[in-house]
Amino acid sequence: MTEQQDKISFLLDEFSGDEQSRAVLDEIEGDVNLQYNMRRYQMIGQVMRHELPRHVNIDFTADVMAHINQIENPAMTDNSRVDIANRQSIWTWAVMKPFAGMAIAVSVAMISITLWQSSSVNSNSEPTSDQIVSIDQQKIDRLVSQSVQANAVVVSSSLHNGMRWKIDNNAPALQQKLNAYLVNHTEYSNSMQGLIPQARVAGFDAQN
Amino acid sequence: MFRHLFLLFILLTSIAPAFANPAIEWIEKMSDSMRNLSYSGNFVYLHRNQLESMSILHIKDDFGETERLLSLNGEAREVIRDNKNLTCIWPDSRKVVVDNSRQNTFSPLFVPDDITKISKYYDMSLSDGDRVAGQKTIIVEIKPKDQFRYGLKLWINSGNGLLLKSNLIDEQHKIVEQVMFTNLEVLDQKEQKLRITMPQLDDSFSLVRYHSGDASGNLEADRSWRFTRLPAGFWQKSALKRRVADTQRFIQQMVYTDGLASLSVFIEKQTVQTPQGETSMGAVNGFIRILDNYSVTAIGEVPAVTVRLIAESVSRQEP
Repeated sequence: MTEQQDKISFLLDEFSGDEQSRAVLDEIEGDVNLQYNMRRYQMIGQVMRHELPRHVNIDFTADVMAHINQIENPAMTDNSRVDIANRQSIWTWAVMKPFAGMAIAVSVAMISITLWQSSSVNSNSEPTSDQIVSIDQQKIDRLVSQSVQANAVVVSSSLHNGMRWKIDNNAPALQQKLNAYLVNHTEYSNSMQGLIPQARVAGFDAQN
Repeated sequence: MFRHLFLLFILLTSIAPAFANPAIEWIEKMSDSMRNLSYSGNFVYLHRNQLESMSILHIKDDFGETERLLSLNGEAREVIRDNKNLTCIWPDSRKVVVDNSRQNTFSPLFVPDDITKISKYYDMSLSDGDRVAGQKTIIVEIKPKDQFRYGLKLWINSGNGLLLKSNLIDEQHKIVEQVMFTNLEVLDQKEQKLRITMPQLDDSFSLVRYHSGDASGNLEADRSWRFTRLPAGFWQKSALKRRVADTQRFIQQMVYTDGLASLSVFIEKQTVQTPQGETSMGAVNGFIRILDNYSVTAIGEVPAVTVRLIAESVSRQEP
């Protein structure tokens, strides 16, 4: 494990608010790469803790428009600002602004991992012990939410090329489609074949 | 007196299989152990003369089940499954895919309710096995009675019931896929907490979601599709329809099973020209057919003849 990973791991697993924790927090605050990495760790952590939302909102334009209204409305009260910030923090707009017009215009389905994350935070999953909020937790949340810059990705209906099917015309699109069918078949049929179905899924790309 | 006892013994042993099949009892025990124990180990997966090494961590705790599969050779692949999500990670191509997970899929072997029905198409037997991963085993062998399904041979730990080795055997009695543990240990509560670690991801990863919605979002399948000829013993277990995340396209999936073997038929509107005919990957066979501008694809861990028969039996009736 690298020193960077050690620091992230420490912050996520052992953060207690003491001097050492605060020093690590300050260091992460000054290092954008550490922030990004922590973001990824948190996402996977959420997967493993069952905290991902059941459904991803791929139409983020409504959220963007809400931010436009929020920022352009000077009469907004402090309370309402806090409320909206809880739903989705200001950084999203700050980062998405250059892309928002184009995205709205062409209706491209885009999400960011951070949108995923923010809706996850609002999900109704039961809090776990590591979700207990301290004063510095807010600081952590702010740090995490700043890392959206590199996270916007286009949602694609294609899986990465995976296991190779025997096809005369080795079309990648057909390979991907059959792989996707296999994943769904594995998930929706109670197969009799022990661990083999899981191994097949994990075996994607092995034959490249 | 002894004569009567002997006759009674003969009578009881002859009707016993109707009440309890020891092979089925072992399958049930294995299924329960694989779901409810926490364990960690390495296994090899052999398919089409390719050997892959994988690591598995299965945790059962208050949250339910979490499973992490990690490839140890070739391109790194990782699959994390919990009660809600199936997350696949390809570190080399920097992709993360999150899909829906079905709760029942943790069970490594579906234990059919109707054993009598299964017995019509399979013979099941029990025998002592060799050591696998240094552990004593018992073998459950499941042999099909016709050419429409594969056979299976399972090596089960004779103590804790964990599956240590499995062979999938085709209609020509050849092993088409094999999984074998090289080591497998049961974890106690303290150990399982230590073993849960997060995958190492950096900012170059992107999230790709393949399918939309959750399982409850599945729509009722279109009833205009008919299957006129099914291999003996196969019946429709489920039918569902879902929308692909970033499109207006719908895919229908019908799952057929004989109680042990299963296959799925996927039907979707043809968007690009799709080749027709047979395809395969390891023990999985597929058959693609175009019908009224729809692609009909049957795939499953069954012989080629089975998927072909089912795909060719599909017809469409206007509602």
